Amino acid sequence: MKKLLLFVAIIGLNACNPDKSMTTETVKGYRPIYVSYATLRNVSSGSPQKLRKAGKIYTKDKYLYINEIGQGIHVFDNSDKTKPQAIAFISIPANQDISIADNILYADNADDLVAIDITNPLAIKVVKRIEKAFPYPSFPQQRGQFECVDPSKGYVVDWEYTDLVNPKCFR
Amino acid sequence: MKKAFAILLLSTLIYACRGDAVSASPTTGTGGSTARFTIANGYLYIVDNQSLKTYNIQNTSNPIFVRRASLNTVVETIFPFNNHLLIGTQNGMYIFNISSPENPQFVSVYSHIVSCDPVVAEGNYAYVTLRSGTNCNRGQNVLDVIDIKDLKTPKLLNSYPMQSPHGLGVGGDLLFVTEGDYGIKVFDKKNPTALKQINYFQDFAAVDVIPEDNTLIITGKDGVYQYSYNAQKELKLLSKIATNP
Repeated sequence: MKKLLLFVAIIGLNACNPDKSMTTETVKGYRPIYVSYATLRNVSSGSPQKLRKAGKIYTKDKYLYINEIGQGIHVFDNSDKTKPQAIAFISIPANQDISIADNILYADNADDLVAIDITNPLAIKVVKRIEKAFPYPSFPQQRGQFECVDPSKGYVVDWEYTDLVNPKCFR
Repeated sequence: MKKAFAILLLSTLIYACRGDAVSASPTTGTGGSTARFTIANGYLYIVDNQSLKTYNIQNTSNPIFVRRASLNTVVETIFPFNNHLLIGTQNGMYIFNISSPENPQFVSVYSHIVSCDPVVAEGNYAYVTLRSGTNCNRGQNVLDVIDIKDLKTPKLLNSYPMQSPHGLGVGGDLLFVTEGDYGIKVFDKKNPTALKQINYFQDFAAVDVIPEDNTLIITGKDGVYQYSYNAQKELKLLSKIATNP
C-alpha cells in the first residue's frame, strides 16, 4: 500500500513538474539578483553621500530624512529650510521605509526589521533586529516566466530581464 | 514581615514603571502619504504586501512583534487618523480602530476598482488618489473625496479626474496632489464637495509631499523641493536638494 502511495506521489510530482531537461528551451524572462545576508545586514553610518534617487521622506524635529531607494537614509539638518544641511548617510541595504520614535529609527533592511539608535547620526547603533519580519520576494512584479528563487543564495534585491533556459516558474 | 514589605515595595516599583510607560508615548515625526510604517500611541504599525503588523514599542529600543492581521489585497499605504488607521490597498481604503492598540479592529472598507492608492484624511473627510500604472494596470486616475464622519459607513462625496496621482497631503484649507511627471496641483478644499484647483506647477516631476508649518516638502525625480505657502496660497521655492544621477 505504502509503495503504491509513493508511486502515485511520484507520478503526481512528474505531472506537475514536467521534466524539460531533454529539450532545451530559451525564453525571455526574469532572473533574481541576489545579495548575501552578510552584506545586507551591514548597517552603518558615515559622512553625507550624494542624493541619487530620492525615495520616501520623513520629518522629525529639525531633521529631514530622505530615503535613497534600496540604499539607506540621507539625514539633513533642516532648521533653515532655505539651506538644508546634509549631516550623515545611514547605509541600510535594501531599505525603502522608515519611521522614528524618540531617538530610534525603524527601517526595513531586506526582509528584516531593524531598530537603530540615531542619537548621533554619524555613529548609529543597531539596537534590535527582527529577522524575516517582511515577506521574501519570491516573484517579480511583472508577469511572465522567471527563474524560481533560491533563498539559500541570499535576498532578491532586483530582477533582470534576460534569456532563461527552461525556467520553472511563471506568474 | 520583611517579605511582605519587599513584595509591597516591589509592586509599587512595578506599578510606577508601568505608569511611566503608558503615560509617556514616544515623540514621532511625519511621513509622506506613501508611507508603509506609522507610529501611534506607542505602537509601530507596518503594512506589507498583504498584511497589517503591530509592534509594541513602549520601550522604543526593543520593538516586540504583537500580531499580524491578514488583508486579502495588496496593501500600499497607512495613515494614522483619530485612533484609527486608514489603509490604502489596491481595491479600497480599509479602516481599523486602534483604541485597543495591540489589537486593531476592522471597522469598514471603502471599495473601488483595482488601483494604486494612497490616503490622507482631515476632519470629516478622507482623500484617496487612484492611479493606473505598472503594478495596477487596470486602474484609473482619479481623486476621490470620501465622507468619513461615520467611519463605519464611508461614503463617496465626489470624484475628480487626475493625470497620474502619486501622493497627496493636506495643510490648512489646501490639498496638494502630486501628479508624477505632470507636476503638483493645489486645491482649495474649503468645500469638499466642490474642490477648486487654484494652482498647478508643471515645471518638475512630483512624487510625494509632506505639508507642515506652511511649508511643503516635495520629492521629485530630480530632487527634493521645499516650498513655503501663505494665506494667499502662493508657493515660493525655499530650497532644492538636487539629485546627482
